[in-house]
Amino acid sequence: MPVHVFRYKPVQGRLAPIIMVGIKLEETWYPIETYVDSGAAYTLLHAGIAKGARFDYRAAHLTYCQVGDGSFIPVYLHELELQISSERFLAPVGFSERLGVVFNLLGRDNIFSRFRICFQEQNKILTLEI
Amino acid sequence: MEAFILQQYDEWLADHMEELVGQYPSKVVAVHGGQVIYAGESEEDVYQWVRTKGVTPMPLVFRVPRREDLNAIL
Repeated sequence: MPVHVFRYKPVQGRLAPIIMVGIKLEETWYPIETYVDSGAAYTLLHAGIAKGARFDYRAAHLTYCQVGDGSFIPVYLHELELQISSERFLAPVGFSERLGVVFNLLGRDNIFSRFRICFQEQNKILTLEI
Repeated sequence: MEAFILQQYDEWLADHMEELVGQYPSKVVAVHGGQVIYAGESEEDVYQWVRTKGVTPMPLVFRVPRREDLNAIL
């Protein structure tokens, strides 16, 4: 079984589980950084990425997701093609103008069910195994 | 996209994240060929520049956090 290994990224002297993901928007693949967040149901991206890619992110189902402070943020939810290492698959991806955190979030839906994800804090790596 | 390109960007970010936070806080940067090739105010601005210049493969476009942003998530 292939195991994909990602180094934790140092931020302000600490280490964060940030990994590179490809996303296909309007027939073009874009590399984006995502914070692996087991607390997020969906993968959530800043709307600026979609605007930059000229992807009509508002042409989708509008839903509301609850965030850490208890408030709800509007999210436009799409089914999009993602790539992690050499693995490509479809997953729900939401775009929001009010994400509230600086990083894009790699959430659970169709990610955590597809990979066995291991946060190896001791080794400063994150592994994703199919 | 080619898996090795994703891997290169991932490795580059692991090596240079702290440096970016120090040099480009709150900017959106385009990373290509192992260096920052452009810094702008928004993703729209940066992707527009990338399209104009015809840069391939697609650069990593990354909003650099400010130090205070990191406290919110870590």
